[in-house]
Amino acid sequence: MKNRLKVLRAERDWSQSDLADALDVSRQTINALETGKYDPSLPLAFKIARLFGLPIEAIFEDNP
Amino acid sequence: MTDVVPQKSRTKSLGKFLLSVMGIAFAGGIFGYFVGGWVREFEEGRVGFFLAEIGFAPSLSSFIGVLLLIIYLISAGLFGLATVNKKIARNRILTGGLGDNPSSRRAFSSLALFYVGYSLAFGVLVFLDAFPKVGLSQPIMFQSLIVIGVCLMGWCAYRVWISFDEFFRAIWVEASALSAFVVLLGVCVEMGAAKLGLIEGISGFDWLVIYQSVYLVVYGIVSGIRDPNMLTMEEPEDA
Repeated sequence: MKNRLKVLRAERDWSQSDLADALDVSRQTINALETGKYDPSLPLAFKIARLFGLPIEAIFEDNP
Repeated sequence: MTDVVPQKSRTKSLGKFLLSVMGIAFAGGIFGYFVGGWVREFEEGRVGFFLAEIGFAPSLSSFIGVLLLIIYLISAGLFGLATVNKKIARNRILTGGLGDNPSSRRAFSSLALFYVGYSLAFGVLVFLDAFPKVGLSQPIMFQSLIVIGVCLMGWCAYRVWISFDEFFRAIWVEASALSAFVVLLGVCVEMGAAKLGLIEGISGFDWLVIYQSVYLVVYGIVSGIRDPNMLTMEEPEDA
């Protein structure tokens, strides 16, 4: 699943550590999400959406 | 994001990997040759005679079990140190890829105790496999030690589960499920072969050792796929 996490993070000038701390997850999780190695659970996806103030579909793109 | 690795580079990496494996296998063969000779002399000496008297029954599983036990004891020590030493906590090689982050920091103490419990329970099983006669003399004591170890493992595994974030949980679950599946296939094949009289059969302890060995390999593969930077010494730069 593609996502715009890296772009959104860069717009706010946050490091992966900053984003990880804000979401209470490990930096490895953020790294894995951004590189597409891991897809978040629904609760985490909602948390990310709330943090950026955007709907989930604006951050994550399903590629069937 | 797709990683474009040139074909030549991939072939080179594969070649290096195969050469390393061959080198390790060759070194292992030479090491085994000399160790085998030493063990033979050892068995036929005074110590060997004494061990035979107390019913020492060495097996490949016992040997691998001892190696695994050493790994678990070292892991317990490292995770224990990681709770108090930031340098060790940041070292992803020493902490099995976890590194220093809020999720890992919560889990280090539980992981240390988990490996203490694991070492206790598995250590008793290794001892009983190597010295079956000694085990028969104190069955209640050894059984109690196993139960204590397993209870400690269970409690700590629960604590680690709630401490880990979902990414590490996913790796843990995937590795456990995949290795259980692989070993289950092996059990089915072995049972069929034993029923047909093709082989003698493998004991439960042997399967336990096989499962742990398979798990270590599978965990490395799953972690490597999910977290390619798993073993970098410092935190990776932003991707």
